[in-house]
Amino acid sequence: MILPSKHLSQDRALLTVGVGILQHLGQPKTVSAVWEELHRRGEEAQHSATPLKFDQFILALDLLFLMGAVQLDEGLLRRKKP
Amino acid sequence: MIQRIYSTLPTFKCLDFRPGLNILIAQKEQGATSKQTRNRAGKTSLIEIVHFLTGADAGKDSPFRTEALVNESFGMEFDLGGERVSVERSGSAKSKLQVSGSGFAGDICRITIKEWVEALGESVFGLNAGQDAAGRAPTFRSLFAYFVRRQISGAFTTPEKQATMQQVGDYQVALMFLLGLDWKIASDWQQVRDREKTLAELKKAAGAGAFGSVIGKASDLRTQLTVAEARLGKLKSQMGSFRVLPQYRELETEADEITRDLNKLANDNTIDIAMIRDLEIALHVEAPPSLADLESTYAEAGIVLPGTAVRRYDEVRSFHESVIRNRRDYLSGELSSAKQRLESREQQKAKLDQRRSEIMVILRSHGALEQFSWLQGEVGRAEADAESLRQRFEAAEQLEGAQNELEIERNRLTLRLRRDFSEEGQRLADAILAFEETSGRLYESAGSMQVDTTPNGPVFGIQMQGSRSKGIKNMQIFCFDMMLMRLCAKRAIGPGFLIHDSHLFDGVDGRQIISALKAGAETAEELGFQYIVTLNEDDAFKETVEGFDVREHVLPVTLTDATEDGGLFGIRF
Amino acid sequence: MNLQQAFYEHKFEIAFLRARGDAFQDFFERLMGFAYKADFMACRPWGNRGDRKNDGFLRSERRLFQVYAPNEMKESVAIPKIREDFEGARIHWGVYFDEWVFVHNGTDGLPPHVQKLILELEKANTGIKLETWGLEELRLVFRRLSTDDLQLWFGFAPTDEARARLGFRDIQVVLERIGEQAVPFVQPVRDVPMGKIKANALSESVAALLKAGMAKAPLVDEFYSRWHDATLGERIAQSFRTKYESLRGRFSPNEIFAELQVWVGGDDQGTPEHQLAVLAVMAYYFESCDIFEEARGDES
Repeated sequence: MILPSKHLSQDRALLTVGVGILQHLGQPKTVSAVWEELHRRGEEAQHSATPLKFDQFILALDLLFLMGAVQLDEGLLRRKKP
Repeated sequence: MIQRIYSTLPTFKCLDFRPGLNILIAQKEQGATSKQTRNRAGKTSLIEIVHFLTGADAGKDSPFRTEALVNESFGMEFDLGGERVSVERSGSAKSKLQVSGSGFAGDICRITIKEWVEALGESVFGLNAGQDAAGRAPTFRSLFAYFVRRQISGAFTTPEKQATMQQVGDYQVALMFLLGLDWKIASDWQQVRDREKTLAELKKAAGAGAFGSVIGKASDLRTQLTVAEARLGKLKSQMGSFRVLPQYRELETEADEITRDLNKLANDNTIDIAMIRDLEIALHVEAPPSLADLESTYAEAGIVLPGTAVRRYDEVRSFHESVIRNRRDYLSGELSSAKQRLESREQQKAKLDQRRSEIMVILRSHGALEQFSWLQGEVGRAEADAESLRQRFEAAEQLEGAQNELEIERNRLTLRLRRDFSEEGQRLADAILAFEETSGRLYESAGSMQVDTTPNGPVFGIQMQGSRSKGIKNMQIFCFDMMLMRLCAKRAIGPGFLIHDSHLFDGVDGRQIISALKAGAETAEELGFQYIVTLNEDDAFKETVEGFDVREHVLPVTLTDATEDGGLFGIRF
Repeated sequence: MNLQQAFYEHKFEIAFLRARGDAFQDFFERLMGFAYKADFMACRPWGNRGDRKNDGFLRSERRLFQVYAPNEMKESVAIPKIREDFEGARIHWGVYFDEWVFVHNGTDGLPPHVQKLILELEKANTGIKLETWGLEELRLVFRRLSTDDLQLWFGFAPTDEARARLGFRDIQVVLERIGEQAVPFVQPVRDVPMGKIKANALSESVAALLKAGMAKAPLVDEFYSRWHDATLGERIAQSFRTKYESLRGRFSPNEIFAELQVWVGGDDQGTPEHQLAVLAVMAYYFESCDIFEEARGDES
């Protein structure tokens, strides 16, 4: 789930989804705003046969929390600064 | 005049005639009233003998063919063309008769009836036997019958006809001749009638015969014929340009098979095209987007990814590539053979397509033998149709044309007749006056004669004031006959005698009879002809008239039906 | 060899392999009945005369068949048995046949001593021709069967037409049959070496079936990538691996393939689309090397 495998494509690996989330957090945003942006981008990208699903998005967020890459601050998601 | 009538029959009462009026009396048995009884006396037989000896047909029913009379010959001595002539004829040799007289070479010569009639026609009426009139010409027999009217033919019905069955043309010609008018007009008229009759028969035949359908109107037929001929022309030109191809059917079949093959090829192609699409998808490597920024993105978030995690991305990509490699190993053969199949099918299709279009060109420009035969048959049928229409059209045109022609002819004849009547007004007047003259002598006027021109030729009518009793009709006939005698005397033609059967006086008032006999006797004396009358005894002496004694004219021989031998022949048969 | 032929030949091979003892006689009679109809007379309807050394008779060709299907062919047993069968047939049925056929279920031909005996018998009996029939001879008979007969025997086969119609629904039905297992621990991901079909000594017909499946494998791939549960592909893979392990070593690779077909597709005779969906799923996991052996590196 976290990493791609023979039968799990790179697009659907949580680590890959996490990259997308991080790239959208140039500034802090609400969870919903990030989901909206990612989701819209996925729908606009014609080549992508696998639109992102919400549960995967949540799982990827969880992963980012666990790794300590993001934090929730007064309802806003923000990258952790190193 | 008739001198004598005799026979080889021993019981026959030979009759001798005098000039002027001759009355043959027939006594009637008391109580016997039927005509037949009186006829047994042989009054009518006298008339028959005269006709028999002037060339009348002696058919099977003729009394002269009966067993009693067939071997007997009858004779008559009379004046013919200023000669005394005897003629004898027998029922057993009915086609020949014997004539003797200074006018005929030798004493006795046997001539045929036809020759006798011709001779009579020439000397009595001045008819030219050799005269070749188109249509009707007056004949001796037809003319003579007016002078010796026969009850047996219904000659006492109307003055202008000497027989009930006499055709219009016949009496018109006869009377125009006797009145000295242009009888050829009446003859031409009869020709028109004959043609009309033929036309009517033709139309009737056309309705049921020759062409199996009513001829129809020429205008309709012209349209039909035009259409039929156009169709025939089209078919003929089709046949003319028809190219028979013996293998036509085989080619047709081949074209059908090619069509089926092409369809099958197209279906097979559909399957292979789908297969090729599948294979191309299966062999397509979609390189996942490079994730060079994976590490750096996480690094920015202060996360250092373990090496295994980063490597895993490469491993998965490489794995997918190896899968595709393997597939390519197995499936590229499938792909190329599918493409090859497609290719070779396309070539086959092109070949077949070309062959088919070649065949189609041939099939369009040629036809099968059976089509040709069918076409031939059609041409034959169309020809027959057109021909029958043509015939019907011509017939219809002829009919319509002929009808118009005949219309015109009738009008022309009417004009001719009017002109003739106006040119020969004097003769007409003579005839009318001659009738009046006799009518005026009668106890009661019989009316006056009229001759009119109608679209159907000359019509001889009697205008009559008052009643139209049978008696009056008979007196009209009497006047008419007297008129004829007068006209003939004037022109020096005719037999020189007139015979009236007692039937003429049937139902006529006695006073009328006696005045008629008186007028007849006086006219005969005035004009010098012989007037022979057969009379019933009770009719003869009923009345008297001043200045005329019937008995003076009665023949010594009287006939009676009271006894077996009382009649003219002296026997009953 | 087209898809349909490959499918049926594979079925035939498996049926041949599984028929042992009496079952082989049934198999033989069924095959001959389909191939020759009324011309072939099985011995059984011939009344209760027991086995009179006649396991079938082909009237038009005056051929008598003797079926022999021991689990293994021991020389000491086979030789006397063959001799006895032939002599019996000659005595009982001699008038009827000119040809005597020894039918056996050996996959690799007959042992030399048996062949020698057949030749001897033929030499000793002039006028009688002797033949031996094994898998390949019977395969030729099998190829006479009409499509109707094949469908009666083995059900529908996948076809090229079905290939064009195959969709997710067909794949989904197949996947739902396969019991899912828990998401396995992370599996190593290695490239698949070339030559896997050859390495597993799969028959020509099985190879053809796999290739047909491979052409549709992308459909399985796409199905997984769109399915709401991203782990389905891995979990099914785990089921395949477990099943394969249970079969491995007990059966020949061709038989394993047949077993997996039944396990995936069910025993009932499905539609051509269903049969093809089964092949697509099998080919997918064959390609990813979750089932069957990898080729050794040196074979690439």
